[in-house]
Amino acid sequence: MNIRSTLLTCAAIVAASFTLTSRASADEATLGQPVPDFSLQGADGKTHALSDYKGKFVVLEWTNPKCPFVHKFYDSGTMQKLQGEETGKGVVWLRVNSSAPGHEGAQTPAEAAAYEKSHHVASTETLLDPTGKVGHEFHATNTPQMFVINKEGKLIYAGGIDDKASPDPADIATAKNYVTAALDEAMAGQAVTVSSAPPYGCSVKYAD
Amino acid sequence: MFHRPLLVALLIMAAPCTGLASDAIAAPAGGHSETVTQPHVTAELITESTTLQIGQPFDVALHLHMDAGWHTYWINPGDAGLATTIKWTLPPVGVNSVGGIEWPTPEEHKMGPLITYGYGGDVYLLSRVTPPALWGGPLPHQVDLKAHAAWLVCQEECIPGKADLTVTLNFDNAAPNPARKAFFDALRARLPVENTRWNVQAAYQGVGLAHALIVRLAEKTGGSTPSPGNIRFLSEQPNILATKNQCYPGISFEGGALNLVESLVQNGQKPPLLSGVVLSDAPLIGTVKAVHLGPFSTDALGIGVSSASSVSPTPASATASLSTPPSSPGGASPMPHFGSDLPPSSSSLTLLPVLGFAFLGGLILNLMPCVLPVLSLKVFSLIKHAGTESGGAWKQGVAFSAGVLVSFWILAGLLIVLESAGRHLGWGFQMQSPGFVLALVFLFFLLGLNLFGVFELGTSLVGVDVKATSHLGGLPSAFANGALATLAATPCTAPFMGSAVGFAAQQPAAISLLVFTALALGMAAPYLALTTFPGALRLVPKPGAWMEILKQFMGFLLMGTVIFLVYVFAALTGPDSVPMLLAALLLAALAAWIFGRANSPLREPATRIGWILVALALLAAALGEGIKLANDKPLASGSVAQDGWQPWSPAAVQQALAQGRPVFVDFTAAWCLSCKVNEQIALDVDSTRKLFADKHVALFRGDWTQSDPQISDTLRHFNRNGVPLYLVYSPKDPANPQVLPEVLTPGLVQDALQKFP
Repeated sequence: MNIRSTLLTCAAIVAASFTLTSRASADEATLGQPVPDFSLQGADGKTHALSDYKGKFVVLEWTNPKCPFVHKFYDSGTMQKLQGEETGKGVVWLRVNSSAPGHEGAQTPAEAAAYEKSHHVASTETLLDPTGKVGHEFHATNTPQMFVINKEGKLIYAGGIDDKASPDPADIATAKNYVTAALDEAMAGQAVTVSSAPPYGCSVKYAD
Repeated sequence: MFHRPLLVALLIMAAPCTGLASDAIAAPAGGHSETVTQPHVTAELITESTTLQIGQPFDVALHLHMDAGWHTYWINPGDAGLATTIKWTLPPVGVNSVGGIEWPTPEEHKMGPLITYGYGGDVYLLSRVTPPALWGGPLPHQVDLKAHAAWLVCQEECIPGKADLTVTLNFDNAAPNPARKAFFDALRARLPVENTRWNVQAAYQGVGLAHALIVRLAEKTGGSTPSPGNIRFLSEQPNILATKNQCYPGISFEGGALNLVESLVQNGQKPPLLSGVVLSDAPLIGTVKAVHLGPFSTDALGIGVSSASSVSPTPASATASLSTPPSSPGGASPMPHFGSDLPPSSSSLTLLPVLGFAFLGGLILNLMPCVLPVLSLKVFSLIKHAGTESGGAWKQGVAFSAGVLVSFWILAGLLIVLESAGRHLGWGFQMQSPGFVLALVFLFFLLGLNLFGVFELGTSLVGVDVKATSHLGGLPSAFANGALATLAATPCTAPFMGSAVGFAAQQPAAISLLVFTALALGMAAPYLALTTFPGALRLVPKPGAWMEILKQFMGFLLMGTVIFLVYVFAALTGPDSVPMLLAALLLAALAAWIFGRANSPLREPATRIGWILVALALLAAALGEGIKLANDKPLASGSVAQDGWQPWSPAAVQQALAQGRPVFVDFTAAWCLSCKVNEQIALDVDSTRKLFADKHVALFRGDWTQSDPQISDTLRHFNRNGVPLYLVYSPKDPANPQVLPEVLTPGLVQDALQKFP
């Protein structure tokens, strides 16, 4: 295969994928852009759509009950405290579990509800994404991984929860939390200073 | 679960995709820490030498053995995970520093649709131990070197692990153990080799549409790159490059150089500096298939255009593609320039942002201290004309813009001509000529006196009727004002200008002209806007007595500029020239005063002409004195060397690097205001001085106050045509210094030096 034909094939694939990407852009969460709507089953057994929360700040928290990095924030009570504080300000906080059935951390609605109760979760709702569709739309790769959506439905933060990539709960005290920072700034009508940071943690357990 | 005899027969596991040889290497006995067993991982330290000796650095390895199917992570874990970390606790004597982890080439691990980078089986993470150059005080028999290692080990689930490990080092004179050295040589052979083969350029590509990083590898020898098979680049920084390419292998050839095209992760970052590993399934340097690229800049603006012009398409075709707007994200038209066999990375997309930045740079030039006075002057005359004949205001704006445009073109033309004549020059080169600076000193000084009202120009000096000037002479004067503004702007090499001009200097003439045109239009834009929209003009306050006050106030701004220019002149010709220059200015002031007094309509014409001749003679004497000063032997370079800074020379830098010291180079000039600001804020401060001392950084200052061909060459090498330029050299990679931004902070310096022990 000569180089020119390799290149032309490659160029055609790239061009095609760009066209696809641009046509499919409504289905991908991109910083500064409106995020795609989705609806998922919640721990309460009912279906919840993102569009139900139009006009409100929404936090999406990718989670996995078995991941040690999720434990870091739940065993210390940090995540619950954050959820309580932000929902108290009118923020909608949705936990999303994209573990595929048979993979680590997969939950049924009943199991998710039991976890909420035993861990004193203070989020608005826990959503189950067993097919990984929503996880892929948001390019969620880690647990925990955080997304902040503003009142206009635009993505204003995507990435890790803070700047101390470690499993050690002792680091939480000195870490800079990007989610509260983004919410505080956006609520004050300011631009978000850090809109993206490397996520860290366990991989999301998608189906193979 | 982990037995000592196993150690001597451990294999380094190698994934076929990274092409590592997988022959067994055996660790020698002794020089080990205890073994710590954690879930799915056992950890230990092994040292290359059990003996501490002056000036004899050696490696220490953190050896992690993972259960089958489990892995730990590379510095960039990929889609998920966490890099292994080591915190060292040094003994009170015997060890000066332990370097950062030298990461072996990572393997790719698939986790569902996600890919992570790391190591399965066994991994040895090497760090360099450096004993001090001198022992201080009495020595103990032996000391302990302690490590706190932390990792994340994953199969499907993940488990964080950690271990505190201690290895004992002796102060005896034991001969080096050849088996031990051979073992570590084998480990070092598993590291990616440092890049010696390519000049690296990189840029994020695509405006709003494409998501890619282009890493351009040009053979240093100038030869062309043969097809290296599957080849790709992994960045050491996480959350930047997608783990899979949209088009694997994303490679293309352009003018003998290789472009690696890597997709960006969704919602990731675009840092200005990257480092990482080039992986191939064919040998790249010697027999090694993984090459480490030290930090390189991702702002190679000309990456597409320069190559396009140097290979096949003419500059005209690069220019033509300018007219093709980038396809909008919603549009179905995929990349109109795909007809050529260039990748989507090339020409048109890179030129547009450059022109945009040039325009923005031109706009910002209006705010520069050396333009502002002229700008104020011009606004002033605009106000005057708006009051008398508002219809002509837009013509003034056009004439001003034309003045800016033409003088930028003349500058570009000079730059092109001189460039092709092989002259070494940079932006701001005018400021390196004492004669030019002298002329500006006199010009601004006299303009200032004029504003103060010491003398009036234009009323009757050359007998031109006032009304005629406002009709006919107004436009040429607007044109001249535009030209003056341009001339005065050149020393302010703002960050925007730096890259745009650096880019232009390497381009074919047509593109240089385009960049300069964009700069000029940016600079003239406020005027065009103000004059073409008379509505905005109406917002300008009505003429009145305040104008006289404003005029006089602006005189002070001009005098400020004079002080700056005198400072530059002193830097060029030596401090002794200052009193003489001031005396010459006093003489010029006297001439201006006599001229002002004499030039009154109340006086008889013969008396007037007589006094004006006296004034001109005095002015000529003043200028003559100044010119004599300007021609005096210029001050020797190197005067900036002080306070730990040595004069820069390539040989001195190499010598310091050869001694294993990191090197910081500051290219500066007396007339460069941003250099001075950077030095005061980021370099000549206690925290940075302490950092330099702690890290034994060798400091060099290159003084470009006067043209220095060696410095000009160096600036050009780093794509710059002016100062400041800041370089940080690592003794480990002397060929690829890190380029710091033109706006410096102590934090940036600290970050750049962090990697040094």
